[in-house]
This record gives sequence, structure tokens and C-alpha cells, in this order.
Amino acid sequence: MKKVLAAIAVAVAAPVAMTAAAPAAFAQKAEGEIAIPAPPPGKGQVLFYRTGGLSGAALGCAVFDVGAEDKLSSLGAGKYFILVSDPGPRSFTVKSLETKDALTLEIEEGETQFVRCKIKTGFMSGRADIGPSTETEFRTKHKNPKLVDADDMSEAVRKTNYPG
Amino acid sequence: MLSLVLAAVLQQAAADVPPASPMLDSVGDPVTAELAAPAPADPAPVLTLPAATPIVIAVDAELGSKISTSGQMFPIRLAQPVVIDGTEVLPAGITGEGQVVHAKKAGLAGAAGELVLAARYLDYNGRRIDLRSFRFMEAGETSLGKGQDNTGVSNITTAVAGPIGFFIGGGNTNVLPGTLANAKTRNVEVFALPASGPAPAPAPAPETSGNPDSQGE
Repeated sequence: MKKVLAAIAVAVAAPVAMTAAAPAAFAQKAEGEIAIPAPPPGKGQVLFYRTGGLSGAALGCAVFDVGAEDKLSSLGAGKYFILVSDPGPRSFTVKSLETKDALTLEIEEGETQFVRCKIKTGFMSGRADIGPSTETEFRTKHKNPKLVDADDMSEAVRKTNYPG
Repeated sequence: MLSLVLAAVLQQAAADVPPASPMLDSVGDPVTAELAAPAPADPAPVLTLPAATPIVIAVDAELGSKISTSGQMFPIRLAQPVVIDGTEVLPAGITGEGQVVHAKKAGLAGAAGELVLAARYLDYNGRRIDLRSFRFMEAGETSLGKGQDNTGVSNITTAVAGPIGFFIGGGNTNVLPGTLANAKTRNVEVFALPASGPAPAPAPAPETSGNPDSQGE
């Protein structure tokens, strides 16, 4: 009887605990769509994402500011993160064993832009490739996005994506 | 001789005396009418165009991920007039410039060409109207921001047929002259209301062909 009661207690408590563990700013909608928060006043933001899939699944897509040593974050298959930024042009790069790819965006105050990372074919290993995307593409191609783990983000990105 | 010296000293002293104030009239009273600040006139009627007002522009040059280079300026044109309270403040057809922020031609392994543009300004009779938030008008999932992405085809081909998949290329994106796009005004703009201007133009229809608030370039 004690085991039955314990099982019921766990079943009741688990959804509550899981909800509390989720980042408050990125509550999942009922259909699995994420609610993208507006950037802070005076700022813009970029949502980086990578769809799932088998190709290059074992490889990460580490995103850097151009010229920076430390990565902003690293996108595994099916993951995303949001970078809050000052408005203006900003260049990003992704590095892989064989090559690197870069993208420059014009970040606008109060707006969210989207960047997609893909792993394309290389000679010896996959090559990370980033390109401009749209919210429509993100919503369409990325059915069940998951936030990048907190320990795989820079401090600034972590504060944005895991507030509190 | 002494009188001459005395006369010269007196003349010098007279020259050092500041001139009489021009603000005194013939009887020595201050001329208050000239000193008083002008009576505040009724402020001229103005129309205020808020910052981030959506506008529709047209790209007036051929651009593309293969033919354009980052930093290149290109001509733009206001495609639809901007109307405030029934008064046209920016007529369609005024020109300005945009800038290529990022251009990368399509590559091997199915990589699509990329093109990121920015709207910089419109010139209205010598007045610069700064712009922001260039967005291509989307048609479904496609956007002129990038070309045909063949990464998936390349990956599958590589898995099935070996390295030949690496040599599958992606597509470039091309923007033809006249292509419409969304943009926004960057600053608050104030326009003097014409005293007897043309009849107020009708208000524009709400923009439905794009989502300028939250999408990629």
C-alpha cells in the first residue's frame, strides 16, 4: 500500500517539478511551439537553431563572435538558444575541423532575427554552416526545439536563456 | 602747447566712453517694445511620423548572393506613399539607398547562397529619412535571403553514393529590380502641415504581405 501511495505521489509531483525546472522565459506552448520573449528595451536578439536529424548528429555547431576566443554557445541537433545584442551589425562564425563559415547580421532594436546552423558534407568530417533564416522556417522546420544546456553557453547567453 | 595736450587727452577720453545705448529713445526711456520677446505665435501645425513606422520600398538594382558584395550600396525607392491622418507626408517614388550587409555565394555540399540587406535612408527634398529593419516579403517558407538549400540532398547522396554528394551545389538567390520589401523609419520625423495642400490622401491599407516585427533577413 505504501508503494502505491508513493507512486501516486511521484506521478502527481513530477509534472509540477518538471515545469518548475523549465526556464521561465521560454515557456513551451501547448503545441510544442516555444514562446519567444521580446528583447529587452534598447536591444535586439538573434535566435540560433539547428534542426534535428541524423546527418552530423554527433557534431556540435559552436557559434562564436568573429575574432572571439570563447564561444557563445554550441548547438547540438534539435537545439536553439537566444542571444541578446546591442543593435547594429554583428558577425558570427562557426568552426569545424575542415573549415569555418561566417554570417553578418544587422541587429535591430526590438526585433528577433533567426539563424540556422546545418552540418553539411565535408571530405573528412561534417562542416558547420550558418545562414539567415526566418521565423516561418524556424516554426516549420523545427517542430520540437530544445534549449541548449546551460553548461554549454557563455555566461551572458546563459543569463538570457536561464534567467534566475 | 598745454592746451593742445589737454585737448588730445579729452578727445581720447571721449572716444573711450561707450556709445549711448541704442535701446534709449529720444527722451531716455527704454524701448521696451524691441526688448520684449516676440509674442508666442501659434505653433505651426505639424504631422509626426512615429519611429518604426512600417513602409514598403522597392529595390532598384539587381542584387544577388553571387553578384553582390558586402558593403555595397544600392538604390531603393519608396513604393507606397506614407500617409498620416489622411495627409501624404512621403510620396511614393522618392529614392534612397540600401546596403548589402552580407553576401555569400552558394557553395559545394549544397550550401545555399546568402544575402542580407539593410535599408539606410530615403531622400525627401534633401531631407534624409533614416530607415531600418529591411525585410524581404516572404512567400511561404521561401525568402530571398537565401537560395536553394541542397544540404539534405548532398548529405543523402554522400551516404548512398559516397563523396560525389560533396560536389552537389546549392542555389544562389537573386533580387530583381522592382522587388518589394518592408522597412521601417528609424527616427521620429516631423512634417509641417501644408497650409493649403492637396486633398488628403486616403489612408493606406494595412500591410499584410510581411511580418516586419520578428523574422530573419
